[in-house]
Amino acid sequence: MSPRLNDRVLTLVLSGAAIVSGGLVLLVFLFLAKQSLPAIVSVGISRLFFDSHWHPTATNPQFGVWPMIAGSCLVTIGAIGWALPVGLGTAVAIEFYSFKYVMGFLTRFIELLGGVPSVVFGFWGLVSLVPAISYFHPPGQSLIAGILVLGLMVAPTVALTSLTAIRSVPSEYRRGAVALGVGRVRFICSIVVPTAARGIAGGALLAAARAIGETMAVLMVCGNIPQIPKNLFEPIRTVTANIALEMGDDTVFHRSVLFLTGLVLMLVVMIILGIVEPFRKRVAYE
Amino acid sequence: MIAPPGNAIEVKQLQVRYGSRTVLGDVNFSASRGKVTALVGPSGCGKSTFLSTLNRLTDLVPGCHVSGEIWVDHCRIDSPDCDLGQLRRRIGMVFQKPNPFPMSIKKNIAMPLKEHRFAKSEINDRVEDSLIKAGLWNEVKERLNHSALRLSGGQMQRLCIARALALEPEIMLFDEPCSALDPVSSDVVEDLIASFRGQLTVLIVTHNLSQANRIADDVSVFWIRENTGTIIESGPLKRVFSAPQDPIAGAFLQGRRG
Repeated sequence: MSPRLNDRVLTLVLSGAAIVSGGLVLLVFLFLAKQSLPAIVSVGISRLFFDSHWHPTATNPQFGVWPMIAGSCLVTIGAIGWALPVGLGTAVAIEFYSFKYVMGFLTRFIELLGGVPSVVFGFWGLVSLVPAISYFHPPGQSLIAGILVLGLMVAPTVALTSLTAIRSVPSEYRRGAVALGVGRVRFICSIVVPTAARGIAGGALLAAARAIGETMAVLMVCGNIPQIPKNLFEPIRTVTANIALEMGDDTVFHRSVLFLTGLVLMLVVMIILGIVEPFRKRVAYE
Repeated sequence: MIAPPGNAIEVKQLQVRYGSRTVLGDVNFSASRGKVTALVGPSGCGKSTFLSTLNRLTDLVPGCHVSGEIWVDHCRIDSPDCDLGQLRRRIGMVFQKPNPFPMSIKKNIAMPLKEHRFAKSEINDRVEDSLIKAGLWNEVKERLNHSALRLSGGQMQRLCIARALALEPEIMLFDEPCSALDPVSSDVVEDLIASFRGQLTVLIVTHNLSQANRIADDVSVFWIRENTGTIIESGPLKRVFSAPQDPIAGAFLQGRRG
């Protein structure tokens, strides 16, 4: 095989793979749209945001999905809100504050934590976290329970991506800072974190994407009442939990409405990514 | 700031090991105050390692073990009660590859000053002052808040020098400061280093013997003996170049070895 032919075959194979993976995403999107179509036609998108309640199968049906979108967003923001500082702190601690052999062990442990199935986290949340919360503020199944469990689930992702980002900071900066007598704290705060900010933000986004799509754990600990919570201790229902809870109902129309809510969630995520993207680009200092 | 006479640096029986490998052994060295001392020798004979023992940058290298005596201004820097922050304020260091931090030109200089607890009012003065001393002020005064990473290689290197000068060090260590620069920038940086003579004690590692010839008062020749780097000849530049006591050093300085 001549090198040129070789190259052409590789190009063909690789572009084929790229088309397949890109095409699959498009197909999923089209499938979602097609399944949602009956609901879009008979209900319309606006009722999802203007109806006040969620009773899709009642005789006088209501399709207000926005409390659940709010639930999804709140639980995700809350989870990232604490997983980001904890994950970043862990990464900094591993890289700058622990001994080498502890570091290896800790990194393995975090990788392991990242691989624990979400239902296990949910189960743990249900049997130990929820009762603890209900002791302070019943009913226990609540937004805060979801935030705590989800944050625990995504913190390893944040820690590992932050660690990668921190390690990619050039070692010349370290030597330069040390040679100037700059201490570890200032070095971390004014050089390492800003330089790695892009990677850290990327990791946080990845974690947020996982958190907003997470279903099982939030379903188990959040109480599943579709409402806008007035405080952290009120139950919420996320869009994903709603789909999982109601998909057993096999009327075609109900299912179509559920697909529509999934489509809306996907659009919300895309809009959020669209808003965040320019900021991510601006973070890099140059 | 004219330095008092005497030796700024005294090194006795220095040995440096990386794990089980001895990279420097039996090193005895002294640097006169206010003079420029060039450290020359073939690659891999421990010149850079030697330089980084003086401000204890070797602490950063896992498995690196330094023994012997290192005196900086009659103070043993290898003792446990040596104040490292203070030591590194007094000894500036510039590396082969310019390493400005990814922040503005001004912050590059202000950040270490903040670390050493200089007052805010003084920081601004020192930023300007050090940039003037490094011959960079006129080129950057309009864009102090721009990223330092947009400067040219030579400008970056002078910023790194300014950053160290702002802390008013008594000693400056240069680890091949010109070898990553184009010829014109290299000349500018070389002239700048030469201008420190009489004010600062300068140690400069260089592979460029004619550069050493142009700017140094004293020279130390490093060589590898029995797989270990050591100093085989030291003294005033003219004497070492014209009448070396060590034949290998003589051959190296004439370009016949190394």
